[in-house]
Amino acid sequence: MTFPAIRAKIEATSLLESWSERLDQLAQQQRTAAYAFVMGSCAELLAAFEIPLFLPEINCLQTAISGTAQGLLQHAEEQGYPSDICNYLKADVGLHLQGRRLPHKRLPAPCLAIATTACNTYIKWAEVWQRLYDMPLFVFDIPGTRNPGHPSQPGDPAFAADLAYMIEQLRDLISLCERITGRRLDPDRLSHALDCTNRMSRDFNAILKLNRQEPACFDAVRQGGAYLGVFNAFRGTDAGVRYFSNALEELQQIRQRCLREPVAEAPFRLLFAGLPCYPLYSRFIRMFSTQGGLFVSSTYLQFASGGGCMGYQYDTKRPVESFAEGLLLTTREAMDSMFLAGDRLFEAQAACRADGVVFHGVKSCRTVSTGLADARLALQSRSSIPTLLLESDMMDRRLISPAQMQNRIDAFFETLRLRRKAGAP
Amino acid sequence: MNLNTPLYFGHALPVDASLEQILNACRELLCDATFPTLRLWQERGGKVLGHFQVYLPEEIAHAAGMLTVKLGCTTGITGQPGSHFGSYLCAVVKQVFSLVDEGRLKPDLFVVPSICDAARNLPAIWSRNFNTPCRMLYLPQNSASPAAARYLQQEYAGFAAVVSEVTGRPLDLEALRRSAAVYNRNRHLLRVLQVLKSCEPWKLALDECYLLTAVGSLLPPEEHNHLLEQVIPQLAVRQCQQQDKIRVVLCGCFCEQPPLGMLEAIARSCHVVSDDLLIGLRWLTDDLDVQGDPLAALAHAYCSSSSWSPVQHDPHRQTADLLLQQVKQQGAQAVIVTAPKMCEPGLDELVPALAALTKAGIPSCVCEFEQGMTSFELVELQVETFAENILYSGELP
Ligand code: SF4
Ligand code: SF4
Repeated sequence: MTFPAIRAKIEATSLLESWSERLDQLAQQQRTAAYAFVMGSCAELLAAFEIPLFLPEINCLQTAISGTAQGLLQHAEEQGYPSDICNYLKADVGLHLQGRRLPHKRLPAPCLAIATTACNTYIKWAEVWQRLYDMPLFVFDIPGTRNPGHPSQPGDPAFAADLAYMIEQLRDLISLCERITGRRLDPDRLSHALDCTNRMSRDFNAILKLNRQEPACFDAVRQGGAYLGVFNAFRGTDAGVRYFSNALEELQQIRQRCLREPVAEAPFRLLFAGLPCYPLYSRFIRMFSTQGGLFVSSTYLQFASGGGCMGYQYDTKRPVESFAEGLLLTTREAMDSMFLAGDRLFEAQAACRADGVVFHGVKSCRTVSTGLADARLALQSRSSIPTLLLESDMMDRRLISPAQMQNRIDAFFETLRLRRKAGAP
Repeated sequence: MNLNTPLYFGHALPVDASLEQILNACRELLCDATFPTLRLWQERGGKVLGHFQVYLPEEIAHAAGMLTVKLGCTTGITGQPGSHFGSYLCAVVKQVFSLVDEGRLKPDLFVVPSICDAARNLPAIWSRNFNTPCRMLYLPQNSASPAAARYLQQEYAGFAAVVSEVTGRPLDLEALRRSAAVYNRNRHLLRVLQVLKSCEPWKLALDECYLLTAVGSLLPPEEHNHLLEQVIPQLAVRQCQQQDKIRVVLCGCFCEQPPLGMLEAIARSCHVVSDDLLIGLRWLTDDLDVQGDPLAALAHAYCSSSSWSPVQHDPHRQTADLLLQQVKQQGAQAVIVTAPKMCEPGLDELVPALAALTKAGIPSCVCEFEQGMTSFELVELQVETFAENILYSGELP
């Protein structure tokens, strides 16, 4: 369907392993890390202070892929955590209650937690750590779009008011980091971290744009997951810059090769909306790829990169103000790509020339899933493009019924094939 | 059209009504899915602002002449949201959507405070399905930040601007001061009701207190004040036999409201001396200063003298500690911890609340609920057994 991006895969695996090893080392040395979330992680600020960053969502999804999540979920449930809450939160609680140990790694305790309001569950989650460890918790208010489809823009008085609030909060967070580390913020270090993220974002954005044209060069759920992992864990670093520069170069080569050696049958170009099904990660993607489906784009890349893939460029000459503004704009973009998915999908599917749209609602994430069914109805009312709505989970195997999923996917592809045969645009 | 003529009290209900008549009328109003007070208000040419739970500074819309309606308080009314939502959502989100989708509710403006992840999806869903304007209100979660009150004042100004677009009336600070005074009075009367329920719980059962409070979500505050002013003296002299019931605190009802049948079932076995039912109506715990800038006063009050619930992060107060404090202050013997099904913030608070109660040796009982549930035998049995265990534990050999 397309040629695999082997170098990017190997490098992503190696980088993410090094990230895990570093965390394990910190834990062994009884050292701590800042806990933060992918939407608004403040990674560049933490990098400027050399505070190691732990992203629990990445750790959770890794446990789901590796199959260890189930035990963590059960452990938390035995302690009374209800079945109907976010399963990232629940698995993470299970992990902390069993001493932050996984089969091949340990995790450092938090010295600080940063929870933005990109997802309200972030706050509830961070409150759990605070109860367990009594470390400082910084809740970073990031106001989102008030009026669907009409976000305030730089230059508007409403934007200026939000930005002023962001800057003041950022100054508070900087003071907190200074207290924790015992040293002042070095603006040059922050500038350097922002510059790295600028370059990563620019390349990430270029990667996503590659798939808008035919032929597509990568699967936005499979390879997209690797890009995301590196983007989040390595933003603000030179290693992240190298990775994205190499990944873009490799994809450009793949694209040239695809043009030279076109495949016999073009894949069904699919747009993915929602969260991946991590407990069946590879199998889930194969359910589509074996029938000729290729995910050319996904809303997940937008929100799970914290809006970072939009290519926002910080002004490194005024690092603090620009960091605040970038955090506001990119995190708001992440929120909009979740909450306003239904308003954007029509244009998104046209932009990536999708043949079909796959909605995957997960029971334990209301942030992303609440609007999906309605988003599908909205898309259906404007377009005849085939859509598929699946419901399962991103952590808990008990909520996934692969056979039922497969049936629905088969029926979806049947429609896609019929449409292609009939010469549908 | 005169918007000052009573919508209900004095209209559907005689002004000299007895306590029983008032309670019955409140019940009827809350169970009426045709929303007669809203209809009448709109027939008279008034505009209605529908807002989602938990707290909204209603004063701002009131000052512009709107009737503000707290959605999700009606009882026994569910809806069929059809294929708009997945199965994993709380009932209140679905109920609000269905009521509008089915044409039973026709607000002129819809406002959603950013209380939780499910609610934050509502404005987009709303704008895709309905033509009435809607807006998200981003209340600060970092209310400890010195900048939060200033930010919130701007946020309220933005909200006032939307209200003024709908009503055609620009924000009038003097009118807002007058509205603040009306709401100060309303919150005061609601506090009096709470004190009465705590001091002489046999005179005011949980479900009755709920009825008297919840109708406030469907009436102009002046009319609600009038109703409470009529009722409170009657309650004070109400002749009721003191009953041998345990004193409990009820928590977990900050957003989705339990059905009336469940409150009645609890009230049959317990004196609920404190609760968080419709906490948003009593969110501000002190009177607003009506002298200075009322928007600033509203913002300041939100950040510095407000109640608590799982949807509001408070860096200085943990919910479990506040619950223990409440138990102590109210001289309660036990706590009934509820949580709406599928409510992330509510369910997230269950474990710490129960752990704190167990550590403090305070008996607790967990009852999950859903707004649309219709059978209460199980809850009744559960609460009755719980209460009996506490009542008679002292008599065991
Ligand atoms: S609710 Fe969704 S977005 Fe929020 S922490 Fe859980 S999985 Fe992430
Ligand atoms: S009941 Fe819970 S989940 Fe539902 S809207 Fe209210 S706070 Fe959100």
